[in-house]
Order: sequence, then C-alpha cells, then structure tokens
Amino acid sequence: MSTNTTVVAEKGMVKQKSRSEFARKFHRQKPILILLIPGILWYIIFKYTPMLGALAAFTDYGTKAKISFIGFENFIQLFTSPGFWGAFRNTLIISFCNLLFYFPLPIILALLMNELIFVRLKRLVQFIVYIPHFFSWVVVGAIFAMLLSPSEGIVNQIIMSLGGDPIYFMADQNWFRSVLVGSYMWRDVGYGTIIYIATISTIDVQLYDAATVDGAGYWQKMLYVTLPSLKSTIATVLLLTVARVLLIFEQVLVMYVPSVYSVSEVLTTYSFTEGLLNGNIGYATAVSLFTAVVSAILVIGCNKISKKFLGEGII
Amino acid sequence: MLFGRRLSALLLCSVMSVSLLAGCQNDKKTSEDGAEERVKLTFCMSQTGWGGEAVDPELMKEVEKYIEEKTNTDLEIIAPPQSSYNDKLNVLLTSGEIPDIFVVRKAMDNIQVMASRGYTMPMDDLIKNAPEITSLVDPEYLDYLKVNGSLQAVPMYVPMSKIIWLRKDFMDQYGVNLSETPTTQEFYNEMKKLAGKGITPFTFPKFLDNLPFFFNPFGAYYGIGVDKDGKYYDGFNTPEAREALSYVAKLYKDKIWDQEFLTNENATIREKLFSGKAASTIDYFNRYIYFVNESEKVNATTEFVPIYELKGPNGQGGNLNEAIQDVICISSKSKHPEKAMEVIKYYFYSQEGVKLRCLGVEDKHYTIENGYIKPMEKALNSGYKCDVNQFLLYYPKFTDYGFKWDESTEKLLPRQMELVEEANKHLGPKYLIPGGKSDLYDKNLSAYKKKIDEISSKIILGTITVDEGYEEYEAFWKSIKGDQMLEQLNN
Amino acid sequence: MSRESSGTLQYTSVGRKVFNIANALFLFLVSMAVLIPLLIVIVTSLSPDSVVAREGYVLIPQGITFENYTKIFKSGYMSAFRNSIIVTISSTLVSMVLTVVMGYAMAQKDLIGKKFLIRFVVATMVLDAGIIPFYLVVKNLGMIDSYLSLIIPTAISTYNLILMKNYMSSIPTSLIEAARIDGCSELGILFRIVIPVSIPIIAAVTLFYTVSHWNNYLHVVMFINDSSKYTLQVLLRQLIFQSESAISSASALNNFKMAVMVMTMIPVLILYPFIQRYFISGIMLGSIKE
Repeated sequence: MSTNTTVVAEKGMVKQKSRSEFARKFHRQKPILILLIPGILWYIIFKYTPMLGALAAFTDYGTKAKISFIGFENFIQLFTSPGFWGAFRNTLIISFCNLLFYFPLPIILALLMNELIFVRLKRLVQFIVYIPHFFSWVVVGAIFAMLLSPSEGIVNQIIMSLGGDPIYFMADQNWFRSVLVGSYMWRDVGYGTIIYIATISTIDVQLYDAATVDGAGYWQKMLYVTLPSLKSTIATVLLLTVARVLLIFEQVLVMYVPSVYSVSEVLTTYSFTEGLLNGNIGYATAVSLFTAVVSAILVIGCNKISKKFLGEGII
Repeated sequence: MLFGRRLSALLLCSVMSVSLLAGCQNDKKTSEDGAEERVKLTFCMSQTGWGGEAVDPELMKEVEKYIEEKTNTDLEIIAPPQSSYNDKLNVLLTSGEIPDIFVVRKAMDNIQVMASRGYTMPMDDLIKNAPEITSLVDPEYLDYLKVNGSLQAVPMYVPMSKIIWLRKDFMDQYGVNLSETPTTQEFYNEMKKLAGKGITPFTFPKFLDNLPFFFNPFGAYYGIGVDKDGKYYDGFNTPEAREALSYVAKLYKDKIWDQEFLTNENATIREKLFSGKAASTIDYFNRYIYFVNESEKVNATTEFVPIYELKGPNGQGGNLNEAIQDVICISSKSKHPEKAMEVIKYYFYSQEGVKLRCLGVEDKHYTIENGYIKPMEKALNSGYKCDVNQFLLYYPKFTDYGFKWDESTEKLLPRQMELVEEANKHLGPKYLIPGGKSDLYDKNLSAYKKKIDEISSKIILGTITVDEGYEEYEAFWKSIKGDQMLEQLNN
Repeated sequence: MSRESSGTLQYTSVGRKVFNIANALFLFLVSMAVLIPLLIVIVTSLSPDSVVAREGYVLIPQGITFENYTKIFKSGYMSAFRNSIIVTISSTLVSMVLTVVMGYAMAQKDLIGKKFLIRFVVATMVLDAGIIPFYLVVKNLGMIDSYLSLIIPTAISTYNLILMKNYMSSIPTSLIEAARIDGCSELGILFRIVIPVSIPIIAAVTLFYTVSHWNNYLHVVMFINDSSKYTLQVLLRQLIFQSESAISSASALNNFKMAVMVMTMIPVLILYPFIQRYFISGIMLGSIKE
C-alpha cells in the first residue's frame, strides 16, 4: 500500500521538474516550515538577542558610570588571575567525575528496574528514587552536612564503629569533591532514569519474542535488545549532559566552605563571586564566554565520538 | 576592527538604551501631571524590612499604604527575599533601573563601588535639611559613607558589634570563672574545663569575618588595615596575626572551638547556644532577650552572660566592630530626591516610622490589650514577632513605646539596655579602605578576602601549619601584586 | 522480561532467580539511601521544638505535632500556592505546545536546513548570556512584573526539545508518509499519528517541564516586583532563610524548615504517579504499525 502511494507521489513530482530541487522541497515542506516559525522566533528573541550582551565581556560594564570598550582587557585579567586557572582545573575535574560516575548510573538503574518482576514494585522504586530531585541544593547541602557530620552523622558513626577516625567530609580537601559528586548522584539519579524508562517502554515486544525464539537468555536480551534500543537516547543525553556539565553552580555555591575553596571553586562560582557580586559584569561575562568556548569544544568532540561509534552525529 | 567595534557598541547600546527609555517615559508621565498627583517612587529593600519581618505580602501592603499616606507618595515597593536581595539589586542597578530608594548591604565594602559606578546620588545638600538624621547619627559614621568627600548614603542601623555570650548554667556546673574582659590565657584555661563534657564549649559560624574578635587581643587586623602613621598595611601578614591564628588553632585542637564550625549557619550557632548544645558563641549585643526567651521555649532555660572583649598579652582588645552594615541610598537618576529623602526620614528616622518597621500596623500586625502588645495570629504565622530587639538597632532610641511588652521582656529589658551600653565601650578597630584609589585593590578585593578565609580555616582545622599557611599566602600575595597594591593605596 | 505486556515470563532458571533476588535487594538499598534522609525530613518536620532544638534532625519520632504545618497553611501559603498553580499550568501548556510542534518539525528526515537548525538550537545550551541581558530583553517586551515573564521567556528547554525531536524521528517514516498521501494535513498527522505514538516521551517531558516551572525561583525573584505575585517557592524560601540573616531575630528550627520543604514537594509529588503511568507502560509501536 505504501509503496503504491509513493509511486504516485513521485509521478506528481515529475511535473515540477522544471523547478529546482530546492524549490520543490521547499514547496513540499512549507507546512512544516510554518510550524517551525514560532519556535525559531522564540529562540531568536530569548536566546540570541541576549547573546548580544556577551559583548559586555569587551567592556568595563558595571565598574564605571560610563560604559566603554576595553578590548581584551577582561580576558587578559582573566588569564593572568591566579584564581581563574584553579577554578578552570576544578571545573574540569568535577565535571569529568560527574560524567564518569553520575552519567552511567541512571542507565544501569533503569535497566535494573526494568528487570523487577512486579510492576507495582517497579513503579514504587521509580517513584522513590525520583523524590530527592525536589530537594533544593540548600537542603541537600544541609542533609549531607548532617549525614556526614563528624560527631553526629551516620557515616562517621559507621567509620568509628569500624575503628576509624571521624572525617570532616564537608571541610576536608581530600573528600569534598567526592561529596559534591555523591550528592549530585543522590539527588538526580532517579530523575535521570525517567527518560530511559520512557524509551524502554517503547521497545517493540516482538524484538524480545524473536530473541526468545532464537534462544537468547535474559542477559543476552538486555545486551542485544534493550541496550541497543537505548543507544540513540544515551548518545543524545550524553551530548546534552556534556553541553551543561561545566555549568555546575548552585550546588557548589551552597555547599563549599573556605577550607575547600582551593579544590571546589569552579568557573561559575568564580564568575559569580569575583564578577557579578562585585557588579563587574564585564569580567563575569568574560568568564562565561570562556566557559562557553570550552563547552562548545567538548560538545563538538562528543559529537565526533558519537559519530564514530553510532555512525551518526547528534548535531 | 574599528567597524566591528563600532557595530558591537551600537548593538550593546541599543539593547540598553531602549530599556532606559522605557524607564524614563514612565517617570515623565507622573511628573507632568499636576501637583495634586502623588509622587511615584520605587523603593527596594528586602522582604524582612516591612513590619517586624512578616513575610506575608498582604501585611506588607498595609505597611506600604501607611507610609504612602504619611509621606503623600505613591510607592512601588520591590521586596525580594532577603537571601536573594543582592542578586536582585544587582540586576536592577546594572540594567539601569535604579530604584529611587534602595538599601545597600555591607556598606563599608560596597558604598565606594556604588558611588564610582554612578548609582548613588550625593546627599550633601539633602542632609543639610535633615536635622532628623544629623542629630541622631554620629558624624564619624557618616564619614564612613563619604566617597571623595561627598555623602552617598545614610545608615539604616546603629553601629553594630558582636560579643561572646556564655550560658550561666554550664559555667556554674563546671566551675568556669570568667570576667567580662578576661585575658586570652584565662579564656583558654577556663573554657578548657568544658571540653570533653559532651557539649561544645565555644561555637562559631562558618563566616570567618567574625575572626577579628580573636585578632584584636593580639593587636592584629583581619584584612587591609591602617597603622599608627595612617599608612595602609596588610594586617593579615603580621607576626600578630600569626599569633592570633595559632591561638585559635590551639582552641580548635583542644576541642574548645566548635569542631564543625565550617558548616554552621548563623541560625545554627544560635540554636546550639540556646538549646544547650554549646556553652558559648559570638553574636550581636542585642541578643540577650532573644537567647533567654528561646532557651525557655526549648526547656533549656538559663541566664546568659557576656564577654565584651578578650585581653591580649599586651593588654590590647576590642569586640567585633562591624560599624555600619546596611545603608540607604537614593538613586542618582531619581526625579524626586527630596521626596525620597522625606520617605527615608519618615521610615528610618522617626519614632513612628521605626515603630512601623519593627512592629507593623496596629490591628493588622498587632493589637494592644490592656496596655500590653499582642501579635495578631495572621502575622504570627508568617514569621512575625513583637520584638524589642530590633528597636535596639534603629535610630532614634526609644524611651517610651506607648505600651507594655510581655512580662518576661519587660523584666529583661533593663539588663539588655545595660549590655548595649557596655558593649559600645569595647569597640574593636575598624578601618575603611577607599575605593577607586587602587585598581589592583578594587580588582582583587574579593579574591583577597576569600584567600585569607581559606588560609585561616585551614590553619584552624590544623590541615596546614601556620608557617605552611603563610607560605601559601605569600605566594598568593605576590600573584595579586600585593605590594604594588599597598603602594597605590598609600599614594 | 518484566514488561507488563510481555508474555515471555514462562520459565525461570536458578541463575535468574538469584539475579532477581540480588537485583531486588540492590534496588532496596538504593531506595533506602533515598528514604532514610527523606524519613529524617518528615519525622523532623513533625517533631516538637524541644526535641528538634536538642537533636537538630530526628529519625526516631519522639512526640508528634502538626503545628508547623498549620502555621505554614496560615502564612499566606494558599495565595502563593494559587499563584504557583497558575504559573505552572499555563507555562507547562505553552512549553508543551511549542516543544511538541517544534520537535515534530525538526524530526522530519529531509528538512531543509535541518543540520543548521539543530546547531542553532544546541548552541544556545552552551552560550548562555547570563541574567542581565536576558532581563533587558524581557523588560523591553514589557513583561516585567507580569506572569508572562514566567511563561514565555522560559518556554522552551533545549534539552527537552532535543529529546522530543530525537524520539519523534524514530517513528517509522512509512507511518507518516502514508497519512500524508491520504491527504492528512501536517497538524492532522501530528495529532492523529505522531502524538499518540509519542505518549511516553510527551509524558516524560511534561513532567520535566512541570517540575522545572514549579521549582522556578530565580526568574520569579528577578522578573516579579510585586510580592503579592510571588509563587510558593519564593514564599517558602523566605520562611526558611529568614532566620539565617545575621540580624534577624526570627527563629526557625529545623522542624519548621523541613515542614516548609515537604509542603513545596507534595503538590508535584502527587502528580507524579499519574504521569508515570504513561511513560512506564508506553505504547505499542508494533501494534500501530499493522
């Protein structure tokens, strides 16, 4: 049936052969293109117009009564500032740890939850792990400070009962990054599983049946049916995660204390405390611009890799 | 290159100027209408400043209406939550929408910046017609708020300072015997008796700008200070400061100092003290009634006694002097500065205004029954209190409130007044560093502050020794060209 | 497999049983890691002041009081709650319409300028101009202090849009082409074929939008001046942070703060099971194909 209609459609198009390929395509896609208009307009107004503000990076906006262009002065200050390189290094380390430890977790969890036999249980577990997403970072910070407290926290009580010395995790340079990554996982892992669960739910049952007929066991089905079906979602989420991974902000701002500044000051908090909070918008924007460039490089790199492994890039 | 620059300047300007135009148009309309029309003013102050800290918008509107009537103005009040106040104010200021009246926090650090960016209007002429203000505020404190000789703001609170508060019950129980001005050695020896008793002998907040209390006894200064000859110097990098840090590190090591101070919010240290988890803490001089009442509420009633200052080896000392914190500014773009000043005079410097700020509107926030004040239920539920503490922080001083507080407050009030008076006699040093004098200083100020906090906290925790800490600090000092910065300041 | 619809649960080997038990145990532990802190939050919120002042946080109940909850209800909670509902519902609607329509259009296989369009969209994730230029745009559109500023400027999340587009482009082309040939308009195809097939992703993205609009705090503070228009998130943060200020004499113990938190979470938590149904069971692509 469908082959017949495409033949008819192609015949119809032959008539328009005089027009160029593009015009034909344009004509055919007109209704679709119209659907795109509101979205594109929205992006231009609310995303691209504000980007003009990035020019502030080349001004002394915020520090003087009159704005004037100062060229690359903010960037020179940036690259010569001692705090900046530390912040850059911390951003890369913390982001990398988040990608390494946090990113695979929702996938694994979604697969495991999918293996639960009782549907009600599956729903319940899904519901429970999703709840922490509602805690704001301030509260997560307070909860972790409580759980990790050297004197009263559960974690240290376990350590002490095993004969260890209590650790002041929240203020210890050797531990604080782990606290950041751990609390991030705790808060958002359940939220992250939603998208995978939604994708798993649409896998064609026939694929499983066919695999069963071929004699595939549970593991094989997970490896050869479920996981490949998630492939494109995983790649997309990875790319989108990479695009935002450097922007970790609120969590650090509410959780860090002076003794761990040197291991946890990231670009966003640096831009906030040394730029925005001082009203030095030009400088803050220069930091953001730098972050954007690094993010862009990461995204392009990630896209290249996914092209190599999946045969197609996301962007 | 030139073209590119011009184009980008044009684009940036167009984005910003359109917004400015929009703002101007609104203003014009009101000023052109007849004199009968009430003057329109925008007023930006955090949510908690409108009637006894009640966060209910309806109650806030009552206060607004009251001020409008009294000053014959039409106010547009912007009252962001106090935890986001700075963010909101920054957005308003940098986008050119400067409120006619706005509050600036941490004024000693920020007022210079505000002035040099042209956000504030000089008040020199306005203040001449404001005896309400000049008669109340010590000229010294107005001097703090001058930039290049012209006044940029007026203080919102009286000068504030912090002292140590001790729980009497623990002192008696463990035989801790401390005067109101003990030496650092006495403080150490006596507080040591409380260590290992299941309570925290001394709790401290995570904000290390409270450290000067322990720097003062050693004659050290936490930050860029001014020496005897009036020269600026780095107070943090002195033998005295090292001594002070070693002292605090010793308190920490011997479990006198809160082992978990770096995760303590302001609210945490207060809770620890009044609930009896800690024996002492550092807090404002007006906290006496608060502590007594709160400790009663959680069944840990006791008396609280002060330590005004610690005396060092050379007899030096002084409490934690914060001088001026919050101030009120008028927008440099205000069309009606006189009217704005009138609102300030009414709301911040008249008895009626202060009463309105601290207590709200009668029969909305509170009622007076048989001469005693009682909060209304609606207000009570939104964080409101009939609170005498606030009165101690504002101008002008009250002698007669026109009603009676609840019984326990009435009983405690005389003692609190004594404490306030005495605390003011023990003020520690506080120096003002002018902005705009050294670009290195302006640029690196926040990095500098963060660094001394970081080094101090690491030394106190004992993760590094004092010498290691100062090695790291000196490397930092070099990287921000510290010596050059001091030279710039001194010239 | 345990998919509800799957009928392949016929035999179970010993190894499988062991795995099932281990898996259940593991997920139980994960749930516990979430539940214990949650329990602490709830128990603390219900504990009386004297207990909370002594312990800070409470896991094992020592007396129960609902005082904090009644206090919150009376603190202008309802009007802020109403504001939140209005903003969340309308902005989620706008978001979904824009995202579904744009996602659908972008999912077309041979769309003109598709590559450019995707980059045009993804670039905005990386290049964030910051709050002040954004504020100026919203201001120049005259939206400040109106709920429009909370609905329109944050309508599309690129993250959600890409997920939507990605999902929709996995819908078999034959299905859409057939409808197109039958004379179905683009909107007709969208409503009759694409949306029904995309229910799981639509449910998930609706959830994402609802939660983010509900939790929106920064934009409310930035764009709204009139405090009677503030939403629940703002009110509750005020209640929590009041006592953190240096000079405040308000005292909010943990029980009150935790009660505040529970009150912000509950409305969206209630919504969750209703939406979950749609993305957990899904739609049979196979059955539609026939």
